[in-house]
Amino acid sequence: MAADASTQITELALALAGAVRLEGDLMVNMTSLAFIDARCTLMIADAARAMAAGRLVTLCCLAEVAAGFVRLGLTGMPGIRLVTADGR
Amino acid sequence: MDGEPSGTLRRAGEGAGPFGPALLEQDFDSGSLYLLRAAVAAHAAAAGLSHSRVYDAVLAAHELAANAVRHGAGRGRLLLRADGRFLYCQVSDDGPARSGDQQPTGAAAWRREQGHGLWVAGEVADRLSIDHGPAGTTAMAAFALGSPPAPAQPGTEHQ
Repeated sequence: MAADASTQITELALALAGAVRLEGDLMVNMTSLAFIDARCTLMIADAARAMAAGRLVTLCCLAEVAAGFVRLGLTGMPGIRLVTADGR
Repeated sequence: MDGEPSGTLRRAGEGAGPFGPALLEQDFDSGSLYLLRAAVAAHAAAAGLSHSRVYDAVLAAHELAANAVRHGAGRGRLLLRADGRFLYCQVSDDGPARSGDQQPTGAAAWRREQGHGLWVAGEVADRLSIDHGPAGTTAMAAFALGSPPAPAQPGTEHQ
């Protein structure tokens, strides 16, 4: 049985908070993620902006998921690289 | 957690209305959003949307339903219709009008926590309307059939 949404949101927030504290370049591999809602897309985008200060953050995901980050203006931001991969 | 939907499921051709026949009619609550997305994906693809537009329709349906769950009655009903030109995704709930239902506009709308889901729904849909009434709130997103935009190319790198 899947965890409820509030638990999943909390877990994502904790994971992103931990990632922000890591040093060096980061790659977030989301290629196995078939769907992401607006709320989680926004959380990851905000974390990527925070992580990108002084290092390279690569977000790797399917094209449909990447479109959410493009809508939020992540393309062209210094330190952020968005790579789309088709896992189908 | 996602569980069994509590509502009815209609097959194609039943209950033709002003926006074409009903393809799907399904109740939802916080525990059935996964099943709702799966049903919308199947029917949107069958209606003729491209893969990327099916994703957009699923995303809009999810955001409208999640808005009803979080800020409305806590549950609602989704109705999919198609009239040959558009696929219509209508989400209704009987909760009171709330501030988060105001359709956000403008480039900076994504910064808002409240209303962000509706902003995304408006971005991916060809049309989005939100109506409040004594019986609750109804949102409708429309997706054009037959002229899908070019999908993003696999392996593309944005920097």
